[in-house]
Amino acid sequence: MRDWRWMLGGLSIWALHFLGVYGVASIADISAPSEIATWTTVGIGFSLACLMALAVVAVRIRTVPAISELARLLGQAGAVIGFIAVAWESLPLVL
Amino acid sequence: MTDRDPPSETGFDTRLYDRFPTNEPRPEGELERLEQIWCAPKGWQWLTAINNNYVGVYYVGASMLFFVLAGVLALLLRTQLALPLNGFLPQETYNQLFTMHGTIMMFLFAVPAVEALGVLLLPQMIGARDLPFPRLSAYAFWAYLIGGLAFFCSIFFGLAPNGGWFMYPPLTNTTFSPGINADFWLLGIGFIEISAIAGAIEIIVGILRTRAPGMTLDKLPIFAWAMLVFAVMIIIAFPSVILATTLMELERAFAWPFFDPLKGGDPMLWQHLFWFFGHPEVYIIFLPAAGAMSTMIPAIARTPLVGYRLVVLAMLATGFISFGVWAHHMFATGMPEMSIGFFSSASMAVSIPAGIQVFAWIATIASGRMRFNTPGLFILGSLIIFVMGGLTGVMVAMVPFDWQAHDTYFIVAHLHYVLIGGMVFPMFAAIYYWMGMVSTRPLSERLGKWTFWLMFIGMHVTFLPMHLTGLMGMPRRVYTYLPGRGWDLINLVSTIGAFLFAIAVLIWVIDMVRNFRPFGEKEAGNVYEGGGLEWLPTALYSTRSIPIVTTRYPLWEQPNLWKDVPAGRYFLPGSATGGRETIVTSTLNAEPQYLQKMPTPSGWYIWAAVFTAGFFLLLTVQAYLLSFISLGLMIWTMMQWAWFLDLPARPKRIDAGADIGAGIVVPTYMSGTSSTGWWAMVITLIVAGMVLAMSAFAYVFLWNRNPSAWAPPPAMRDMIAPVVMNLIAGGLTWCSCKALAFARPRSPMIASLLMIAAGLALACAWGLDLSGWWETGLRPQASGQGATVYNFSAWQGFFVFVVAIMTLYVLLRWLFGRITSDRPATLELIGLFIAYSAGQGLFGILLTRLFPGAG
Repeated sequence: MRDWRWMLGGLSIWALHFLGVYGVASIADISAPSEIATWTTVGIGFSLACLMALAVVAVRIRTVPAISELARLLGQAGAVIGFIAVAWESLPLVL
Repeated sequence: MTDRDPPSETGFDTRLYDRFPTNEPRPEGELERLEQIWCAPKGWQWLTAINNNYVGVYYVGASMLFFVLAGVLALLLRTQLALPLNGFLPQETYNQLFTMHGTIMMFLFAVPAVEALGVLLLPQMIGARDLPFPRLSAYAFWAYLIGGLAFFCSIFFGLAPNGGWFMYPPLTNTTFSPGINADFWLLGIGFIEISAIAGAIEIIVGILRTRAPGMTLDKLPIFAWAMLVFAVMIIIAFPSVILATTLMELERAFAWPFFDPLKGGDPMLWQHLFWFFGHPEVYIIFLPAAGAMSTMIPAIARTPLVGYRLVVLAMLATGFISFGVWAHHMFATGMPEMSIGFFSSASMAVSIPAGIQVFAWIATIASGRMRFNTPGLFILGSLIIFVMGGLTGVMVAMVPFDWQAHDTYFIVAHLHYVLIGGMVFPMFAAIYYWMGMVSTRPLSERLGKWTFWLMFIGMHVTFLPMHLTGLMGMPRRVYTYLPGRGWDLINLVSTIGAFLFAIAVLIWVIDMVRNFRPFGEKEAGNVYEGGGLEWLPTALYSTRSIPIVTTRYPLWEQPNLWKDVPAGRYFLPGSATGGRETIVTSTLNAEPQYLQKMPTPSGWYIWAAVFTAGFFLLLTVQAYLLSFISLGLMIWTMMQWAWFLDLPARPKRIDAGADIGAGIVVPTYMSGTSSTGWWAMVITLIVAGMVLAMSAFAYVFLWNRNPSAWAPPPAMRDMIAPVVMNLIAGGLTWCSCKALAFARPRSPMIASLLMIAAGLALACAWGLDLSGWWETGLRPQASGQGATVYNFSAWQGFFVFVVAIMTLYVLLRWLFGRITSDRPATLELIGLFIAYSAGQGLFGILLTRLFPGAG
């Protein structure tokens, strides 16, 4: 399971980001107009947390012992792709 | 071994691989015994065959039959649209035909076809004797075939569904669709999805646990990677449509208002549930086809795939992101602006992983020496068509453009480019490419090229003009149109293209009739010089011996394999236990773990498939008594099917282990997390968990639409008893498994009674929760809240029903002496199921009573 966790870690954080921001948008939809700014801030904060987590995975996976080369490579590339995608998909929050 | 090398995954000493290939002569009669054990069916046994060589061919054949049938419907539709105000088809028939065309293509052709390709190819590709649950494959196939044909026949009685392949309410509620047409779709499709899930479980466990020794994930054939991602996606996505169809049926049959806004429901709930399945469905169809492309291109271009690891990453990324873009089918529904922004940006991002695969294919073709034979042509055609469909996909990911093109023929053109380029052309390429593996004669190159060119030209002539008709404002799903709008000529051209496409399919059918000769003594073989294990000489037992894989293209890079494997110089050169068997290996490094005995054919799974189909179809036509008789027979046949599993060990010497070659001895029985049964059960429970998660989404979604109308839950003190009973149920299952592990004389009795007690506790918990809600006065017909709360109860009630059957089964097995401490797998798996059910019950109780609380 250790290999799978590292291999899919970046992509999983990306998926978690989808769910999080869609949840935030749904709650913002039923909130009072005055609370929209608060929920936008929550969304930005959540996105930043996901970006940090992805950066940690991308850096940390290089030195994790005893996982296969494939898991290491896929995990790192997945975290990098996830980082770009999360940044891209968070743009609607700041535009 | 360096510090960075992973340690052995299972403790297996991989230096033992050095003993292969063996040099000793094989015992006399070994091969003959193997052939006898894996003998071909005779007479009626053709129906009960479970070997993947048979079931795979049946499965591919049935899916192509549905492709042809749905294609005929398309021709009827195009004939009607060839001219304005044409009277070829009445409006109602047209509605039924386009609904059936879409439904059959998506549910009865595309998904089953790629799943069938997996069943047919995977065992040989990964070096297994067969997939780990061959009877499950046969059950899935027969359930699909019987259910699919019955569903198709509804068209001849005017009973076919007519609400479009995505069946949006309110069009499909009882007010606007009062007959049983919509029920055919809801029950028929829900049931066919169960068959798809059964196949997916088989494929996941097969790929992860039955690979040839040495075939680490880094050496896994790219098609197997694609099938793995595909099967996991089915497990995650399909529960959503199963839940959606169940909710719709509950609304239609019992007036539970999930989608009725007047009573606190919302039709948007259907769209969310449907597209959470529907969008990944596109990738579920595309990924295996892409995997097949990535397998065929290296053979056709005579060079290894460029960027293997990046392609694997792209497949994984596609699998993940496909679950984050479902709402781009709903841009025109008035969703919150912020959500639209997220879904739009995510939809554009989908093109990145798809692009990685396309560039890898182009790079492989460019770096090799491409041959323009029939599969090669279909591959190139697929690339061109899929890229064109992908580009219009990026266009419709832009919200303002989507608002213009939504529900027009532009979308029809886009989806056909994606699906024909992404799945149909690769499927035809695969049929031509792998034909030599299953037929004594390959298909004709000359006819194949005719098929390709007519199909390629016909495809563009049909669908390229549809972009224009769409941009000129022609909506989808209209049975006719007025002249003088500029649509006349374009529609006529599209119709001519459709008939060109049909001629191509007809030529392919003629080619199949002339040359397809399956189940022969000797196949045509490796016509296109592929490098995978599937091209080793095989028989019904797959390869004579199971090789050690050290590269991604073993036939190209392990030069002696083609003679050492048939000579029996690798693992399992004969039968180690005297029966059918396959080696179970570890998930990452494919280290041998144990020898799994494989079943022989019987009739029970066929009857189970017949009665499963009977139950659903009879329910649809409202023959309730016959339907429940069929249900009872289904349960009985399934119990018969399972009855001979996990029998007490005898003789003891077999249990000590078996020699799988070169003196390497592995166990012949395994329980717990190492067993394939445990994996299958866990995957099944993930399906159940996804239904639960989507039910929770439905509950929160409907609350979100109208929070003020939410009634208070039962008093908090009433929650204690059902919660405690669920905890007791979970605890008793744990005690039951521990009691059996003690291996005392009375262990089987105590373990069985504890398991039965766990089932009773679960039933009590369910009853207490249900009565608590009933006493509040809330009824399922009253509101969206009532419907979703009682939906949790109904789902849990289904589990209680299954647990009741399981506990009866435990009782019977104990009475017949079939529960023993040395064979704990059955009890462990039932315990796992009951423990999950208790957790599920607990979750439902806590969610519905604590969220949103007493208000």
